[in-house]
Amino acid sequence: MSETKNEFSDFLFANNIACGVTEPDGAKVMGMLLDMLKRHFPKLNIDEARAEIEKREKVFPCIVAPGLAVPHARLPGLEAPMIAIACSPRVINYGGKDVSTQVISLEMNMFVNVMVLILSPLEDPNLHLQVMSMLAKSFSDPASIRKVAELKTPADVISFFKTGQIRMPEYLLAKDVMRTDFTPLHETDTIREAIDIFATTQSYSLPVVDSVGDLRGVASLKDILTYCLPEHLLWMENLSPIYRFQPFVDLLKSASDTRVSDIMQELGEPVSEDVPAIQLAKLFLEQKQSQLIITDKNGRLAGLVSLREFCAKFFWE
Amino acid sequence: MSEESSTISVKYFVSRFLILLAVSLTVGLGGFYSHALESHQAVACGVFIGLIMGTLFFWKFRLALAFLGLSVLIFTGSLDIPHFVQSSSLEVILFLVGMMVIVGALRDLGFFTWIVQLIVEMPNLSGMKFITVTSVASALLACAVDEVTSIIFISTLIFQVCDRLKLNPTPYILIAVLATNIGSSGTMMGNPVGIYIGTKGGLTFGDFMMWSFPIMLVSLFSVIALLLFIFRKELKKFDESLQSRLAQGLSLAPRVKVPYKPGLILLICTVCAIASHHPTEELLGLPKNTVLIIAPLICSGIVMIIKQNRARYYIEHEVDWWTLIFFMLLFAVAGTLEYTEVDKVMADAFSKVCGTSPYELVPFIFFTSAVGSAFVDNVIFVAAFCPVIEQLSLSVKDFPLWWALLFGACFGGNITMIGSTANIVALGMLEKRPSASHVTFMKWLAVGLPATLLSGAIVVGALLALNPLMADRPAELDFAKVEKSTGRDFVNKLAKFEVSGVRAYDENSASIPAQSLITGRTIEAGMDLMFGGKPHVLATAYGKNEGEAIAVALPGDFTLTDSPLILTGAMYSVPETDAKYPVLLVVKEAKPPKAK
Repeated sequence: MSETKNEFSDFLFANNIACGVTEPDGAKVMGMLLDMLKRHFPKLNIDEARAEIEKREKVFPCIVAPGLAVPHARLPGLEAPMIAIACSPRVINYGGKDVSTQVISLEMNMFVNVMVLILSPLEDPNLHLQVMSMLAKSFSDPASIRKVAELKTPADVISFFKTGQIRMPEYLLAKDVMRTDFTPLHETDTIREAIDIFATTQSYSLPVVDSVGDLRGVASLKDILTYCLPEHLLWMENLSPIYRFQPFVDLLKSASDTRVSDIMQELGEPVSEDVPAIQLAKLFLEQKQSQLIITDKNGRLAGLVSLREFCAKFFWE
Repeated sequence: MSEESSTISVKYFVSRFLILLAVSLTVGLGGFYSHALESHQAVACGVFIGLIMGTLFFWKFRLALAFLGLSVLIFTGSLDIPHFVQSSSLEVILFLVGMMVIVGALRDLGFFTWIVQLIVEMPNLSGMKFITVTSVASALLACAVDEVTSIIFISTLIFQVCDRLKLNPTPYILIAVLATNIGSSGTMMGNPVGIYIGTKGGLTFGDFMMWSFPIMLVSLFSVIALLLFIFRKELKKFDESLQSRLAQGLSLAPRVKVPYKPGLILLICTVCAIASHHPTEELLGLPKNTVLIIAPLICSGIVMIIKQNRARYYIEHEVDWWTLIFFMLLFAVAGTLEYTEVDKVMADAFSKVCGTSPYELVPFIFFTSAVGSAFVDNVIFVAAFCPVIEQLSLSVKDFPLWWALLFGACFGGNITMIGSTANIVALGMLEKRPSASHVTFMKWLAVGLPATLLSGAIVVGALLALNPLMADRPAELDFAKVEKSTGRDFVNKLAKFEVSGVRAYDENSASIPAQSLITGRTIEAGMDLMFGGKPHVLATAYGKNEGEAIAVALPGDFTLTDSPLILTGAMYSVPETDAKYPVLLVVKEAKPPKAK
């Protein structure tokens, strides 16, 4: 990669940008973007790219914000990221006819106005994530998606990204890999409420905040289990006295009276959002935790990074 | 001794190592050049002091330091391999291995779970009741298994209850630890120093039950009462939180019916096996404390057969090999003090400071071992002190001295937060609890010192009061040990003395001054003597070598003989330095030696 390419706009070429797209079928728009990239990068294997994109779409949501789809894949042999953009003032049906091939956020619909196709080198996960991070910053304002959708020419699109001056960071930070879409627990929540939240969000652990939003601790399913099964009960090799989960009766009886604050653990050393992302890997390994809580400069809750999500970003996202 | 962070800075390491080296060299060279110690003695002392300081500064590296210290001793000829093997007290190590396996099995069987559930499910629970029961359980568990095991399990109980009541567990942990340390003096299983003192001092389980356990109980309840007073505010808070929780229909822990019989049977069998060691040894004609040492091995062996799937786990994970190897090397290093006869030097110094009166020796030994154990691992202290008491036992009644050492070593652990392994373990567990308040050195001292002063006063008072009831055990003496040059002063010391024969008293010998016999008159050849209401005759007992002879007062019906005899009786020093005979033995019993 050229050392001078350190802004998102540096990866954009007018020939790879289509404005005023009228085709409503997302799959066809995808094909169009791939063709554009093929013309610009003749060595690109379109079929391989399409297959990888579809594989990722089954696992990760490609509609990352209302109106914005970012289909992407990491391919071997690429020397630099390839980006193609389709803008439509109308809508592109990203869901297509066969919805089952799409993983779509429950809160978003299938219709988008901007599609950004990103193909990154497989061997450089850092670069891929940096590009994704820059794209996320470019569209940090939800209104900008609509704005880009209505741009008339590729030059306008490039100019939009240039204006933002979103520079590629020297290295990824925690805030580039954390997720912010989660619901923290409140210390006054009951265990019953916490169980419901864990169940619906399919989380393993969640940060606990107080009434003003300050971090107070972290509660996990393991803490609930520990509450049911005090340590001394686990000393026994033969657990037959509790084969019928007798200790759980105690918890379930008091679930509406026991607060999250009764079971939560104190927060370990919080991780600042500005630490290098690689530091998170070290923390995962050294602290043997499956989730890290990220705080902003003021020490307030900023995001979460789970081990699974972290690995996904680097290995297969 | 303290656990430092996982990495030590180079600066810390070098500075502490230099201090260690400086102190060791000062002690060694100072002792040598002041002519107080010979060369090997100086090396032994220097290495021993170095090891003590090493455990203070580098607790994590204590085993490495023990390895190196032992190497220095062997290199310098201060210890040889056979004596190393002999001094390492393998019997004590094996005893502890057996007990650790049994503890693992007891945990598997749910015994400790049952104990915790029993306490947590007590009816009409209050703060005072909870603390008292927990403390007593802590002490008795320490008696039955060991102090570290006890504090681990009791701490878990306290954390469980305090988590439920949202209380700071620190005061309750402190109380439990103090009780554990006190309880560990009750039997020889409670603390490694107990079994070590038991084997070195020839004390039986029955001796512990008769003398140590009751004194421990009195001390325990006194200290509990003191602690309940000191922590009365916390207890009030405990009561309020508990009542509030109970009023909501909530419990302190899930109610679970835990099977307890297998664990209880195992514990009872083990304790009975250990307790019956003395009668068994007498019956089978085995040397003293033989069965004591192997009793846990028998029980743990049976356990490992019954629980074959856990046998390897018990040996690999329940036995704390790191600590046991450290103890073994520690004993060996302390054994050097005996090998190089530093113990004699120390015993002489003790005698000069304290004389031979138990009213001075008992408080002095208790105080010294308590203060020493407050700052240094009590095992180190006891390992060094035992040879001294063995030396003192040659001339004074040693029974109360062993108890003074035991109680001092155990109770001294309460003075400071680094005083015992149970303290360190409890503090380590507290540090991991976010709800626990930090315990500082002074905070601990503020509670530990008064508790130790109270329990110490009880112990010293009890030992001195019970001293007349304690039997004097015969010291095995010979002509070399009673010579004037040894500086020993015998005053009615029960002794066993092997002689080559007994002949008529040499009439040309100087008479024996009355002071040495507390009879009020001078003793001369041919005069009628009465001891214990029986007539005695003055005679001379001689040894194999020319010049070996002591004066003896024989029962009137004794026949003089040139055959070897073992004479048992009361030994008295003759005060005059130019007296022909250094001591007078008032003989109670004369037997031929056992055939070898």
